[in-house]
Amino acid sequence: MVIAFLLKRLVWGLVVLIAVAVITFFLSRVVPADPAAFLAGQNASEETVQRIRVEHGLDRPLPEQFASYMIGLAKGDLGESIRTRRSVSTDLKQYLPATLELLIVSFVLYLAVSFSLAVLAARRPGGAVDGAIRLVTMVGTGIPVFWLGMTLQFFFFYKLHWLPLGARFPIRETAPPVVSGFLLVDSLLAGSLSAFLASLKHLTLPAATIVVNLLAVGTRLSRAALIQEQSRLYVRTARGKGLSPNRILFKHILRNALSPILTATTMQFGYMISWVILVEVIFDWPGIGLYAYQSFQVFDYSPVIALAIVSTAGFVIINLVMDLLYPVIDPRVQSVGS
Amino acid sequence: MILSVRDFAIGFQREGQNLVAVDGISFDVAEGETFVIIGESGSGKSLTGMSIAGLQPPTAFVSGSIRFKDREMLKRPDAELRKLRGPEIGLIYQDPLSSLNPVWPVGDQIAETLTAHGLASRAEARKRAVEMLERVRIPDPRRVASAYPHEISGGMRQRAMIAMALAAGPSLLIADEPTTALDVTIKAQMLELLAELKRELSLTIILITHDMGVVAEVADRILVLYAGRIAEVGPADAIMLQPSHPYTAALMTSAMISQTPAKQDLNAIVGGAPGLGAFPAGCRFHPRCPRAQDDCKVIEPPRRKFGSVELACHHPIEAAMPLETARS
Repeated sequence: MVIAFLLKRLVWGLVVLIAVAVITFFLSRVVPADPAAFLAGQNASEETVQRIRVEHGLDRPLPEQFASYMIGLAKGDLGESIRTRRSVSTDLKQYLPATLELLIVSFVLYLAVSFSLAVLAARRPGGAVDGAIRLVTMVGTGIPVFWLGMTLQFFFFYKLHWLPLGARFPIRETAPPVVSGFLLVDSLLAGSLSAFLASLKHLTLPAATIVVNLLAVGTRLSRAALIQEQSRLYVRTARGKGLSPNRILFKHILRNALSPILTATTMQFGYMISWVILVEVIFDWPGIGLYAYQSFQVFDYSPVIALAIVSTAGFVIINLVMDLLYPVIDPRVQSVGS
Repeated sequence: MILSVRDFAIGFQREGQNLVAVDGISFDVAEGETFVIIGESGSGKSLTGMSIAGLQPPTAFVSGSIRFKDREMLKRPDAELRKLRGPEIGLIYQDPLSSLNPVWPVGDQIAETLTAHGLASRAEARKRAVEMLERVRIPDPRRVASAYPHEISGGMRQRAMIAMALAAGPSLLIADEPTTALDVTIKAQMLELLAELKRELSLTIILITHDMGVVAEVADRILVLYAGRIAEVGPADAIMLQPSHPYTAALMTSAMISQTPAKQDLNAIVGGAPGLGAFPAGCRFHPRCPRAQDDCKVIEPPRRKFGSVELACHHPIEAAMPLETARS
C-alpha cells in the first residue's frame, strides 16, 4: 500500500518537475536578450558573438534547443553554465550544501521559535503576552525581506561589530576540509571550535532574516492549533487524572496539534525556499540562490532552470516526507494510500 | 461522611452580570453509597460534580464549602487538587471517544494515571493497566491496551475510561452521565459493572444523570436538582416510589412514558427548563408545575423534612398516587 502510494507520488513529482523545466525553459527564452553578446563583452566583434552562439548551440532554432535540453535533462545533464564555463551539476555540487545548511538551520530555528511563541500566546488567548507576540511577529513579517536584512546588517555589523556582513566564512581564514559541505558539520569534524563558531556567526543574520519574515504566519497557525486542542474533552480527562498543565501540554495537546502545524509548516517551507534566494543575495551567501541570481544577470539560462528544478524537487520531497509522517503522528490516519 | 457540601454556589460573570448557575446547595454523601444527582441539562448537576474534583471552569466564581475527607476543596490551589485527582477521586464522562486522547494507545493512558503520580514505574504501570482492563471485564485486555481509542467499541471505551479513573485506587468515583452515549444493552452492562466494582473496591460513587432509568438501577440516595436549586433529596426508594416533589413526580412520569410502548396521554412536564439568568422568582419550578399556587410565584420554598426525604416545595404530593395510576 505504502509502496503503491510512493510510486504514485513519485510519478506525480516527476510530472511536476518536467512541467517546471518546460515552463522555465520557455520563460527564460522569452526575455529579449542575447547571452552570447553579453558574454562576448561590449567591444566584441560580430564574428566573436556568432562564434560563441554556435559554441553554446544558441544559433539553433528554439524547438531544437528545447529538444536537446530535455534529452540532456533525461540523462541527468543540467546543461552548462556560460558564465562559469562548468557543467551546472558541478556548480550545484559546490553551491547546494551552502543553501541546504542555511535552509535547515533556518527551518529548525523557525520551528523552535514559532512554536515557543505559540505556546506562550496560547496560554492566555487575548492576553497581554498574546497581543505582544502578535504585534512583534506581524511587524517582522510586514517588513520587506531585503530591508530587514539590510537593517540587521546595519546594526549588528556596522554599529555593534558583533556579526559579519555576509559570506559563509571569514575570507582571511582557511575553511575546514570539505566532507559534508556543511561548514557547521565540517568544522566539528575537523575538531575546530573556532571555525564552528565563525560559521555560526556567519549563519546568524541570514537565518534570522528568514525566520523573522516567516514568524507571524507560523506562530498564528500553531497558536490556533494549540487553542483548538486545549478545548478538547481529552484535555478535561487529563486534568481529571491530576496531570500538571505542562504535562498536559507536552504529552497530550502537542501531539494532537502536530498534524495541523505540520501542514502549515510544509507550506511555509515553500516560502522559505523562495526567501533563500533573496537572502543569499543580500548576505552574499554562496549558495544556489546567489548562483542563479548571478547567472540570470548575464542571461545564463541553464543555472536558472536548474534552480527551478532543484527547489521544486525540494518542495516535492518535503511534501512526500510530511505525507508519510501523518500516519505516524496520528494513528487515525490509517493508510496513506487510501 | 466522605463528602459534605454546604451552601455551594457557582456562577459566571457575563456582560457585567453575575449569572448564578448553582445557588446555595447543601448535601452529604456517606462512604460507600451510590449518590445520584439527577436533573435536566442546565440544572447545574455537572458543574456541581466537576467542582467536587476542583474542575470547575476557571472563569467561574464559587462560594460555600465542599469538604472531601475533611479537606476543603474550593479555593484549594490546583497543584494540591491535582494530587487528589487520580489517587483519591476518579472521574468518568459522557463521551468516552472524545474523552480519550486519540493518539495514545488505551493502555498507556491508563498507565499514565499511575506514573504521573509516581505510583508505579513505567513497566509496572503498563502491567497494572492490563490488570485494570481485566478488572473492568474486558475480554482481551492485552489487545485493548495496545489499541487506539478509535479501534475499540463504545462500550469498551467507557470500560477503559473506568479502568483509567480507578487505576490509582481512588475512594470516590464521579461519573458524569457515563451511560448517555451508549445504547440500552451496553448501558445496563455498564451500570452492572459499576455496581460490582463498587462492591469489590469499596467505592463511593456520585452518579450524575438526567436518566431516571439509570437511577432506578443503582441509586442509594438521590438528589433532584432543578435550575440550580435542590428540589428533593433523600433515600432512593422513597423518592422513586413516592415522589413528593411535583418535579420528581413529573420526571418519573416522563421516564415511564419513554418506557411505555404505546404512548398514552400521560402528563409529562410542560415547557422547558429555564436557562441561566432566566430563573423565575419564588419556586423556580412554578411555571411548569401542575400544583403551583399563588405563594409559589413569590415565596421561595424553604428546604424542610417531609417523611423520609427533605424537599423544597410549598405543596408536596402527600400520597404515592401518580405512579400507581400510571401503571394501571
